[in-house]
Amino acid sequence: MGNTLNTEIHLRVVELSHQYGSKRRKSKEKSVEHSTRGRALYGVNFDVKFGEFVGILGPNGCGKSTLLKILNSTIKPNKGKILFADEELTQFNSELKRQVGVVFQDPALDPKLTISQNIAFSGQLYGVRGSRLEKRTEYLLNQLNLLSRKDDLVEVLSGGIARKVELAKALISDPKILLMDEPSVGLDPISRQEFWKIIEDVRQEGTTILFTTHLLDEAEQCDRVAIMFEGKLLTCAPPIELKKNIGKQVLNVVGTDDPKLFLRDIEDHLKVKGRIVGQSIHIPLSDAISIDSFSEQFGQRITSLSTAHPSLDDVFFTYTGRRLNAEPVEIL
Amino acid sequence: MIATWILVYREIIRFIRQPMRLVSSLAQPLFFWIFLGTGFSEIFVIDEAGMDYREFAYPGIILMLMLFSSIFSTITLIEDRNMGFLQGVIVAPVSRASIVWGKLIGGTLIALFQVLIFLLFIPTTGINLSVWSFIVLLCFCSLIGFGFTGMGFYVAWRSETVASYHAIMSVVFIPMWLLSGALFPSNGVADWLVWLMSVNPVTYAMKGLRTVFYTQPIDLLGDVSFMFSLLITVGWALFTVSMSMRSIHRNL
Repeated sequence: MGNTLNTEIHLRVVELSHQYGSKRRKSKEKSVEHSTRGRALYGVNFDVKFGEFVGILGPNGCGKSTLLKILNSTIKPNKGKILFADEELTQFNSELKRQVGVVFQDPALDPKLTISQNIAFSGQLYGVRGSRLEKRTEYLLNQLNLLSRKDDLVEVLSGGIARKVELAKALISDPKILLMDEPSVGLDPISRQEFWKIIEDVRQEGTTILFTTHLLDEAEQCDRVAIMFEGKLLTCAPPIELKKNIGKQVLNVVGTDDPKLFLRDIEDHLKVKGRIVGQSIHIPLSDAISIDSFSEQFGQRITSLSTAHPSLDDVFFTYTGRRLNAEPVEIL
Repeated sequence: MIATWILVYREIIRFIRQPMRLVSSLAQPLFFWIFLGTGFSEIFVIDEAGMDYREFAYPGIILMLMLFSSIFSTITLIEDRNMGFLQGVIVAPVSRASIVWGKLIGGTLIALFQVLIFLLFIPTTGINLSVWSFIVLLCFCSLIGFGFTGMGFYVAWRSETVASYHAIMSVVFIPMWLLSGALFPSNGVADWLVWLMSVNPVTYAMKGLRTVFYTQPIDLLGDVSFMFSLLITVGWALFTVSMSMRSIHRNL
């Protein structure tokens, strides 16, 4: 949240809806409006300001990737529109497309070309040519520590390095907006950390960044987080605000027993719903449950006990009634 | 337009980096020609002039070479899509038509390169090809290349997997070549086969190609049968290219 943000709107999504296979379905069903089969997005609205860093948080299948595919003009939505600085984006608007860099969830590289050929190829498609292309390629190779490997074929690269090449490809045209679809999927923790450091540099240069994720720690870094579930965008606000809005603190319990067994006993005794986060158990604090009362009842089974602020997962739970990640996530 | 040539360049680089593609797409027609030509030349006499079967099959094998080369070129579209590479091209500020042209021109140039290699065997057939006939031959082959790559592009874009492309290749593409008169002439065969051959556009590409081998370019202009074949071949190439253009507007 440290960045000073321009209040002007860079990207505006208006009433975006999409249903896969709806054309075929229209002929079979009287009203497509009443069918939810294949529905990926439903009435999505949000804005992204110039230079803002926005994450779309949601579980797999919630419509995040569809939204990104529409934003990068891979697919055409059934309804709604996208405005880049008040100009409507279409599949044919080359000028606008030139301003958008895209990092895909799956690799989008040619394994038979070298790193520098892949980057140059992308640059040429975006109209970057001649000495400008050479300089920009060298700058990015340098920035991303790829200079010594620039002549390596992509087919021999590790996932982490391939991801960097993807990023270099997306940045070759010096885009004003960077769209990334789950960019750190498949990366080991070190590569992931390195990747986000580079993104932080891009962010500092004033590039507007919009990305999708299902990882809470990635969403925590954003200026604003949009929560998506079942094709709907439920809210979009700074992470601190989102957490503050749901209010209550939680008890953070580490027990001597297996967390699952311990949680079951706690739930049976206190008639509350808790959840496991790594080796800890989170129990919502209330008038009936305090740190002292809990300690009295379960003292012998507790290794450590503290209070904690709600996480984005708690926020997600409040909005959707389900947890985002059952698995613990590493903190960057 | 520049985007098209960038994509053509990439096709060529990929082709150079995959030597097995060159070997396999050249070896198969070569083996067909050597084995079938040698085997059948002892059994069949094609016409009164006593044309050797190897000579008869030579233009047909060139057609096969063009077909296989086009198949190998367009099948990479499925790899490109499955690998994700294609989505990077789709989001770039280039027209979708330039993506089609990049693939079709790239595929056709690669096919022509392989035809050039195969033409090195022409002295062994007894066919005399003048420089002008050679140029006309390359032009006609380019037309065939667009026809085949257009067909391949259309099928590849709509195929989910390489296996489904192979299925179409086996039941449509290869029979189209087999029924083109590449391996046997249409005269004297069963009526149903004559009918099938007459509705197959590749038959006319084959007829035109065979005519180019034996007719001086200046005489081609007055050859009604050749002009008809040329017309059908142009129509077929335009149809397959336009089908490819239409298909690319489908979502990935």
